[in-house]
Amino acid sequence: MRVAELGDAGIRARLAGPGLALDFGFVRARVRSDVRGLEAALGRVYAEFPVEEADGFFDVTAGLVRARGLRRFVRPQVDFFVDGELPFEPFPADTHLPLLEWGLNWCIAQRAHTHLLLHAGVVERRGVAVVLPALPGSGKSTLVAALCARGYRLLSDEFGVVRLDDAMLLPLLKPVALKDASIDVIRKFAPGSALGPVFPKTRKGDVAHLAPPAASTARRHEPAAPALVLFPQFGAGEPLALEPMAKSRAFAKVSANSFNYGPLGRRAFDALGRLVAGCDVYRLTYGDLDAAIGAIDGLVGGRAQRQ
Amino acid sequence: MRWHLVSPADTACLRLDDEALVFNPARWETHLLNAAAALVLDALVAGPGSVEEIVAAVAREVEVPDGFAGQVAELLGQLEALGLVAARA
Repeated sequence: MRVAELGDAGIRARLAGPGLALDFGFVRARVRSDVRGLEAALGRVYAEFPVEEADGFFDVTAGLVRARGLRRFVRPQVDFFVDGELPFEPFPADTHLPLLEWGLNWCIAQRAHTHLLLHAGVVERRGVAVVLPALPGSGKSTLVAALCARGYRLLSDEFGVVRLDDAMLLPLLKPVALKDASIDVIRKFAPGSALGPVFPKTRKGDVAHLAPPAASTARRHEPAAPALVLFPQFGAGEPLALEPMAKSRAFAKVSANSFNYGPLGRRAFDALGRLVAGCDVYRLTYGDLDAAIGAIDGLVGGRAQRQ
Repeated sequence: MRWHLVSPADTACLRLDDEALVFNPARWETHLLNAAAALVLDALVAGPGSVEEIVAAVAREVEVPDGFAGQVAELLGQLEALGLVAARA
């Protein structure tokens, strides 16, 4: 049974009771909430996730709770909670899903130190995994969403999870968070995309989440071998440019942008070194998604033939 | 004066293209070394040496410019400040 099949009432009952179990692949979370409207949003962006029992071990047990006192009624607010703590300031109640997603990501970044966590999107096709580091203004999430619309398997939009022993990439499958103009870009690029509701004027602007595709969800426990590291850089009207990049510089950029490279020390150095040494590395400047995907298709095809 | 790695057994060095990344186990820091620094480090991975011996080791790999010994001495000072190498009289 899929989460979408629970319906709003079924999801609401789980959120208010034992919790809604979400298996992201590398991490399992149990979500609880008494916030109205969250059930419908979760039903859309986690539609293809299987319904699981909420007992047993979970890496994260967290959720949202309506603020107490006056804030329950006047400009209502919601709090993110984890392990009985409220680590953030409350958010407006009508931004429930963005707060939950950011909170869950924060928990993962704080806790998942058995693996190296890169700040990167990861997609895969024909056995070739592509790491897209998230540097500011890169347009990484938009490109990840567009690649998924063209048949790439989504492993993650936010976390590139690297297994320390062999540098394989593990899926951490959560919805792709699109912001501001990217929302309409993806709507036009892939009209059938499973976009959740738009949350206007959050702290990060307008936000909407793209549901992971069913095929990616079904393969969320399947690692992928890293083969390409692409540093995307979007620029309106920019012609396509694909330039090889020094692997040493790629290592430096990716490690500096990692969530936990520092604390993992030598093990992270070895794992990232293995990953980068085995990948082709490019800087991709683009102004048109179709052109960018065409270039990436070419690189993936070339690597697939060499493997 | 002879130069040596501070932690020769645990210092990890990864050559990528003509540059190198080095992990300093004492400080848990990673440094990106340019091609010249990478060759100097290679020489010290092989064993302790004087500036003249390091210059000779590098010269076996690449052509070195006049005055290279001075550059090596300056570089060793920088690597010492990073805690990667030390000198013994």
